Amino acid sequence: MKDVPERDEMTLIRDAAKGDASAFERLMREHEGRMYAVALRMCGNREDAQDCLQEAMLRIFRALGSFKGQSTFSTWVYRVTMNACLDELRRRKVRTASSLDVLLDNGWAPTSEDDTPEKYSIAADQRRYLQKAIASLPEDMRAAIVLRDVQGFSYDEIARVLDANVGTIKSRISRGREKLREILLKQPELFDRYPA
Amino acid sequence: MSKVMDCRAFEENLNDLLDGLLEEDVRLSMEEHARNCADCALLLDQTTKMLTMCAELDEDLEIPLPAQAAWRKAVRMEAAKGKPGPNGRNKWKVFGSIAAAFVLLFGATMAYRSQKPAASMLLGSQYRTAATNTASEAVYETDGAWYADERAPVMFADGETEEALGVTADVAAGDTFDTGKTQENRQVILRSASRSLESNTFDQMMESTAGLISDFDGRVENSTVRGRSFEDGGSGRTAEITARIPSASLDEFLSALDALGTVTARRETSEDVTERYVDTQSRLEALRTQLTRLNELTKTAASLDELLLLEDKIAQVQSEIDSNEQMLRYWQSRESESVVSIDLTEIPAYERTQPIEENVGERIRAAFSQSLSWLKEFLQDSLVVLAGFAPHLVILLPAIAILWAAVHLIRRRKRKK
Repeated sequence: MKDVPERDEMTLIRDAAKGDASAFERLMREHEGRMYAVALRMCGNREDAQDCLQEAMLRIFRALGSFKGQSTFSTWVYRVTMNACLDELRRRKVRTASSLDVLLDNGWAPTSEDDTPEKYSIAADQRRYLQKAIASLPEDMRAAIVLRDVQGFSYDEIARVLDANVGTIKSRISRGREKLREILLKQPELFDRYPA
Repeated sequence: MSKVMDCRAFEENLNDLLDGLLEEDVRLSMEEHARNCADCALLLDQTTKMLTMCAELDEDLEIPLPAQAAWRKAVRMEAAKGKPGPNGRNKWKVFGSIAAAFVLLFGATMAYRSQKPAASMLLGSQYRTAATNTASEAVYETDGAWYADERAPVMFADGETEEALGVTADVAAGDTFDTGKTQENRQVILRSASRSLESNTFDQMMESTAGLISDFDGRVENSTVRGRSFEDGGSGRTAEITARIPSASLDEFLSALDALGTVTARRETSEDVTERYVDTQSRLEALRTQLTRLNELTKTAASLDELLLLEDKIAQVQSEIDSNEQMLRYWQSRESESVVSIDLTEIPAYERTQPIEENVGERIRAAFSQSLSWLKEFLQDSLVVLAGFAPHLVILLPAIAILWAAVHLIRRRKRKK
């Protein structure tokens, strides 16, 4: 899935590395949406996702000169994005999304109010509840689940992005799915409302 | 295989099934199991729905326009500041930092080479220069502290003079360890000194040194001569002499010794063992009293066992007395005779042979050799300067790190605004 041919990609990388912002914008056009989605699911809110996206873009722009093609460009881009998100989460530990258990204990319940600009193919409350559930996962499991089950990366790609071996990634995904299912089962009607 | 085992295997393989990583036969057996097991069927159904929800979560997600605009603006501002990466602005930063570090090192080394006081203060060290025979230029080291000549090591407490050494000599002469009042205020100080001298008349210097030791009623403890003389085609001789000199005439001896050649290093130390000496004397006195009492008790011993016990104790006390007496004897000996270590080095006679006429090749070779020699010395001095700076880095590095972090944080906040 490449909008920019490989040869063009290398040319754009070289131009951007020399400080050409336009070339950089063209280069990143095909990645920005997915980078934002990863950041949104990792951070749990749009403001932090926007900050992380901006930080990741700046890191990539500054480090382009040292990108020697050890991995594919897209793998490197998502690795930088994920690192920016993890750094942000660590910095804002106290501000990270509250645990879903705590929210539920405090009487939080999904509402049907649609206050986001995104178009929904599933109910807004279902989406919001799932987002909260993902955000409440531990960081390492969250990163693996977001890349695998939300973004559809392969196990090999995830291993390269998160700089871990495939066995570790499989284990994180397995434990993450188990935990996510346990959380979602606290609202069993979500499954009932979803078509079989 | 039991149902429990099947369910466990089902759970173990569930993720691979959902990720499509299973072999056909395993997949079919899992589907078969799900048809017959309500729990596993529910697990499969819930997990499948959950993954479908996850996959659809961002299906129609679009990056908000403010987010698109924000990163583009940030990148353009970054680009406007200069070229990114090591090919651009940062490269100049790196070059600048290296150049600044080199200039700093060069300056510090040159200051060190010229032995400016500022450099010595900066490095927190003192220069031990090759002292000449001029007494006023000499530097002494006493117990690790360096003093100028006018602050020569204090060997005696206030008010004490060389008469104190007279007492020492008296004590050394005897073999008893009285603890009378005459010794109560006396200080026991062990002195040592070392000298390194060089001369182009090695044999004469050796002979004079031996004569000097003899003249001052000293004795040579150890003497070693190594190497071959320049006349015999060698690279010069060295001698190491350890001598014992009466402490009373040590200063006079050292002054006379310094006149025998060029002094390249001198060191004098003094160790005050008065407290330990007095403690040992007191202990010795107590032990002797105890020995007298034990001897008296043996005369009135009631049984053989008692007598044997007393004799054991007497032997133990006697052994302690011997050990303490030996220690006192050693200190007295060391107090009355100071140890002087003398290193003598033969140097070639200074001769300057100027070539009658030098051709261009020889001049180039000479200039190159001179530059190489300068560079070698400069690098060695740089190493010394760096080593001197090392302790300061303990404070400087964290300070630089904090400064850097603060600047980075401020820049980051500005960028976000």
